[in-house]
Amino acid sequence: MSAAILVFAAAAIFGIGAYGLLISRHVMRKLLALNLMLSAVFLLLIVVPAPIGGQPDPVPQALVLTGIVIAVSTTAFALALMVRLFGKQGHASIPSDLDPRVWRGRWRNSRDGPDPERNGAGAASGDKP
Amino acid sequence: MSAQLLVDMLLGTLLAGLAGAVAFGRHLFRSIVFYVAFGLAMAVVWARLGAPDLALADAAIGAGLTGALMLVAFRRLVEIDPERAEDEGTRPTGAAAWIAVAVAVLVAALVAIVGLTALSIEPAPLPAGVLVMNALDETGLGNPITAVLLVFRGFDTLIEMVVLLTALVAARVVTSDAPHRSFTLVAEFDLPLVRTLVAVVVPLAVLVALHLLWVGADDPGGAFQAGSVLAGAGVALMLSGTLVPTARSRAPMRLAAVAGVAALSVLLVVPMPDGRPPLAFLGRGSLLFAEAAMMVSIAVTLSLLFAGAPGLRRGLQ
Amino acid sequence: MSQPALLTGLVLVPLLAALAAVAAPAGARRPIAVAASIAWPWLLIPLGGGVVRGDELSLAFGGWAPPLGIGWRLDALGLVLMSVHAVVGIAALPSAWQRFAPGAPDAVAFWPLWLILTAGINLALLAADLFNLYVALELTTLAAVALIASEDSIAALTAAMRYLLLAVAGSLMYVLGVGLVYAETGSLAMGTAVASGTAAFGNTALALMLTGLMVKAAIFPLHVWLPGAYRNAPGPVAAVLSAVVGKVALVAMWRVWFEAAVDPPAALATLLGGIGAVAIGYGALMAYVEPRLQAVIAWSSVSQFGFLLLLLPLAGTMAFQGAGFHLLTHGLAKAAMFLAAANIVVVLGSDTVRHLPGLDKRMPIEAFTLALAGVTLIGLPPSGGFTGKWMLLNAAWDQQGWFWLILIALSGLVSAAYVFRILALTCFHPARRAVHALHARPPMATSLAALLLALAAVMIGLYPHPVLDLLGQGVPGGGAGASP
Repeated sequence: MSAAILVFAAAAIFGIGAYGLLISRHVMRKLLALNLMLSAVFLLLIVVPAPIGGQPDPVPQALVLTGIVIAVSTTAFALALMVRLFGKQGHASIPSDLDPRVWRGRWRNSRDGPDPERNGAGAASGDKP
Repeated sequence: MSAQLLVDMLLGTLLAGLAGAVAFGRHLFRSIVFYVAFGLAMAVVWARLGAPDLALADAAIGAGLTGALMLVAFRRLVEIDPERAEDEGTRPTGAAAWIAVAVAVLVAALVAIVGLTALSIEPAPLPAGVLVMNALDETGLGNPITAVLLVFRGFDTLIEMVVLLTALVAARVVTSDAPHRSFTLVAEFDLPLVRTLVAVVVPLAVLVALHLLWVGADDPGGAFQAGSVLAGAGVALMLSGTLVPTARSRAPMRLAAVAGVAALSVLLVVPMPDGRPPLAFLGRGSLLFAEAAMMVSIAVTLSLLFAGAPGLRRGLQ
Repeated sequence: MSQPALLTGLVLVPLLAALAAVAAPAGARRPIAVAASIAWPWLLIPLGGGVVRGDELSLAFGGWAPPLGIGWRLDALGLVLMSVHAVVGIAALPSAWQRFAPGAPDAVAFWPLWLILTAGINLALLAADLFNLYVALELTTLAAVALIASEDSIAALTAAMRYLLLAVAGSLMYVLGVGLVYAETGSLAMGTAVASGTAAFGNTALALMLTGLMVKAAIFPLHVWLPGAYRNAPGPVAAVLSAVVGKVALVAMWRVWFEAAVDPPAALATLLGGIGAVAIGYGALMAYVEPRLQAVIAWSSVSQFGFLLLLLPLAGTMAFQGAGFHLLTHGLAKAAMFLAAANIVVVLGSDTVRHLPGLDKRMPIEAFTLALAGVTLIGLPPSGGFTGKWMLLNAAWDQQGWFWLILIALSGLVSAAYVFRILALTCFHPARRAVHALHARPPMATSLAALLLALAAVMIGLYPHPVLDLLGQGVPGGGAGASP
C-alpha cells in the first residue's frame, strides 16, 4: 500500500480534526475531533517507520494498540464527565478558546467582586457563606 | 495507474471523507454514526497494511466500543434534556472561524510535510522492531506484537490496564449520585427478535473471544481484542435487559476489574531472586493466564463504563 | 533489598495498594491509601543514599535492555521531585483524611485515585523511555482530572473537562513526536533516541514532543487549563497538583531537551526562555488582579513555572542547580499555600480577598503559613526561594546573559506585588470590617501540616548544600547543552 497516499490521508484527517476541535463547543464533538486526530497520529506511527519483512514494524504496532486502549479509556471517562456537566449546567459545552467573548468575560471575572464562575453561570448571588 | 494504487487512493479518500462527515455533520447523532464508519474504514486500512492485530483492535475497540460509549452518552443527554442535547450555543464566527480554518490547513500541511520527510529519510540500521524479531525465539511466541506487549514492553501494557481501571474509578466520581436507568431495547420497543439475536450473538462472541485469546500468542489476536469482543457481548446483554445496572458494586465484580492488573504485576514485574520476572521462565501457561485475567478485566471494565454504573446484575425476565 | 526491587517498589507499592483499595469494601479504602502513602516514601531513603553516592540507579524490565525493553532510571532531579512528592503527599493526608471520610461524597473513588496518581507521578519520574513516559503521563492526567472533578461544582467540572481535552491534545502531539523519533532512530530509549538524527527532522520531532509536554506542564500560552483546575480542586488535590503534577511534565521537558536532543538549536532555547519571561510577567499580573485567594495562588504557578524554562537558555550546572532548587522550594511553598487556603475556605466559607482582613487574628497559623510561603515565592533571603533564584542569577552572570539577569532580578518585584497584596489584606488592613460567622475549624493537624511545609520551604534555604551538591552531580544527559 502506498505510504505517501496514507500520509496525505493522515494529514487531511489531522487537519479536519484540528478544525473540529477548535470550532466546536459541544464536548462530544471535541472528543470526536480528538479521536480523529489520534487516528491520524496512529496511522502515521505505522506507515512512517520502515516495514520489517514486508509487515509494519511490530513495536509501533504494539504502541498503537496501547494507544487505542488508552484512548477508549480517556473517552469513556470524558463522556461520563460530560453527562455530569450537562446535568448540572444544562448544556454540554465549554467555552471555546477562540471565542473573543470568553476572553472579555475572563477579564471581567478577574476583577474584584463576586466570582460568577463560583456561583454558577453568572448568578449574582454574592459570595456570602 | 495500477489497480492497487487506485484502491489505496479510494481508501484514503474514504477515510478523509468520513472524517469530514464526522467533523462537519450538522447532527451529533449522525456524526457519531459516521465515526463508527470511520473506525471500520481504519480497520480495513490496517488489514491492507498487513497489521491484522490493529484491524481487530480498531474494529472492536476504536469503532465498536467507542461508538457504543458515545451513543449511550448521547442518549443520556437526550434523557436529561432532549431540547439541549445537541445544543452548541453559538460557534465562533467571523474572524475566529477563519482562524480555525487557517490553523487546520496549516497543521495538515505540517503533518504532510513531516510525514513525507520521515518516509524519505534513511531508516535506522537496527530498529527495536528488528531486535524484537531476532529475540522472538527466546520468548517462544509466534506473534511479535504479543511478544512486545507482554514480554519486551510489558510495563507499558500493565500501565495501560491501570489507565483502563482508572477510567472506571474516575467515572464513579462523576456518576456517584446521578440517577441511572436501565435502558433496554426489549423494554422500550418490545422486540422479541432482539432477545433471540442476543441468544445467538452472545455465545458466539464468547467463542470468538476465547479463540482470539487462545491464538493470540502466535497469530493475530490477544487479550485486548478478546476482551473487547467480550465487552461487546456484555453490551448486547444490557441492551436485551438480561443484565441491568445496579447502584452498588459487588466484590466479585470489583475483583474481576482488578484481576488483569494484579496478574500482570505479579507475573511481569515482581522480580524473582535471580532478577527475572516469573513470566520469563514460567512460559506460555503463565502468559495465557495473564491474558485471560486481562481479558476478563477489560470486558468487565468496558461493560461497566457502558452501563455508567458501579455494578451489574441479572435482569428480571 | 536490591536496588531494582526498590525502584520497582516506588511504583508498585502505591499501585498494588490502589488495586487493594478498589477491591476492598468502601470502609477499608481510606486506611489502605493512607498506609501506602506513608509507606512508599521510605523506599527513597536507601535509594537516595545510592543517588548521593553517585550510583547508576537503573533498571531494565525483565532483563531486556533498551532499546528492546523499557528502562527506568532514578537521577538526582527525579530524587528531588520525588522527595517533594513524598513530603507533600503526606502533608496533604490530614486534610484529605478529614474531607474524604467514609460516607462523604466521592470518598469511595477518591482514595484509589489518590494512590493511582501517586504511582503515575513516580513512574513518570522514573521512566527513561519516551513511550513509557507517555503512558505514565496519561495515567497521571486521568487521575488528576478525576480528582479535580470530585469537587462537584460546575466550575470544577468545567475546569476538569478543559484540562482533560487540552491534555489529550497535548499528548497526541507528544506521541506524534515520539513516532517520528522512532521512525528515525529505531529506539524509544531516552539518551539514544534522537542522537543519530538529521537536524531539521530531529528538531521537528523535538518541537512536537516539547509542545505536547508544555500543555501538560501548563506553560504559557498553553496554561489556560491551570488556573481553573487548581483553584477549583479540593485542597489536598490542589496541593499535589501544584507541587508535583505540573512539574513532572516540566521535568519531562528538561529530560527530552537534554537527553533526547543532540544539539538543540540556540534559537529554540532563546524562544523557550522568552516564553518563560512572558509567563513570569503575565502570571504575576493575573495573580495581582484575581479576586480569590486560591486563584491568586494558581496564577502564581503560571508565573513561577516561567523560571523553570530559563534553564533551557542558561543550560549549565549552576542553572540546573538553581532550577532544581526552585522546583523543590516552590513545590513546598505552593502546597503549603493551597492547604492553608483550603482551610480558610472551610472557615470563612469563601476565599475572596475581601474577606481576608483580620485573618491573622482569626486563623493565625494559616496567616503565618501564607506569609512564610509568600516570602519563598518572592525569593527573599534566607528562604529557599532565594537560593534557587540566586543560583539562576549567578548562571546568567557567568554567561553574560544580561537579559536573563535583569529578568530574574525584576521577577522578585512582580512576585512581591501579588504576595504583598495578600499579606497586606491579611495582616495590615486598617479596616477590620469583614465579620463572618465562623464555620467549624478544621482539625489542627491540617493547619500544622501546611505550616510545616512552609517552614521547610524557608528553612531549606539555610541548609541548601546537600541538595545543591546532589543536583550538581546530576546534570541531565551529562552532556548536550549542559556545558559548565
